[in-house]
Amino acid sequence: MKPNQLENVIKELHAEAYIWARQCCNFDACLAEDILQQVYLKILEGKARFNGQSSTKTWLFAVIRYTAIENFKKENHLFPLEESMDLIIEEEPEETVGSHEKLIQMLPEKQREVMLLVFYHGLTLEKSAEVMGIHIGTVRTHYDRAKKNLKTLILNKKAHEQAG
Amino acid sequence: MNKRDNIEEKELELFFSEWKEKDKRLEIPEFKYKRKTNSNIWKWLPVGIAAAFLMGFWLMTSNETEYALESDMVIITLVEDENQEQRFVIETKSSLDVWEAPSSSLLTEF
Repeated sequence: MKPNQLENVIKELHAEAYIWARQCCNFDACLAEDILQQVYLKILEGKARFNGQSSTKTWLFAVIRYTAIENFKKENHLFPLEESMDLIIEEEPEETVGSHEKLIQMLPEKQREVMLLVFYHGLTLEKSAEVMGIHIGTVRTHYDRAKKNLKTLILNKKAHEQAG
Repeated sequence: MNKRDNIEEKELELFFSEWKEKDKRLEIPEFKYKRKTNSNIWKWLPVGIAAAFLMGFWLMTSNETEYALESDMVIITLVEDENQEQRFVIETKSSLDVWEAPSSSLLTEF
């Protein structure tokens, strides 16, 4: 793909890329903007190259995810939950249950990522595996657990709202 | 996929569609896809070259500077003319071609 073509495709994906960057940065808008600039710079400087093996969106999302993780490690902000760790659903205070963002943040990291990639961004499990850089089988496991956990959280939220 | 799974999926889809609808109000930053160029360096380049030329010119010309004596030198010479008469010749000069020690005449004349 020629640089101009790539620029046009990235421009089209910009809004989605920003939303994904924001989701990778725990919904911190300023940090997401900064991460996205770093990603664009990596692409311009040839540090991140699109080899055409996946779709541009999958590739761009993978670069954003990697850059965000890299940045978190550098800033010592990362407190990842254990991959094998399952969600312990407890009664949440009212303000935590209210928003979609808060609700998804209650899932373990990998489960959260797969939910966002599949349901929010409309990627397949295979493409989600490419973005996350893990095996498809592992993604399926996270996906199944995430669905159950998120459903429970949604039901809890609804029950909480009805009780309130 | 059984009925329970379908309901579960629909529940999740509804959750995400509500979220996406809400996110439409998000302010998306401007698309800035350009290399960070250090244009300031290039802006200052002609100024730097001009300054280097000026400095070189100043160094070259400063070597040729003549320093004037603080005061002209007065030379009083005792000269004997064709009538064997001696007279003083007084002249002023800004430089001295030949320098003779003031005491050298003592060796030759006395």
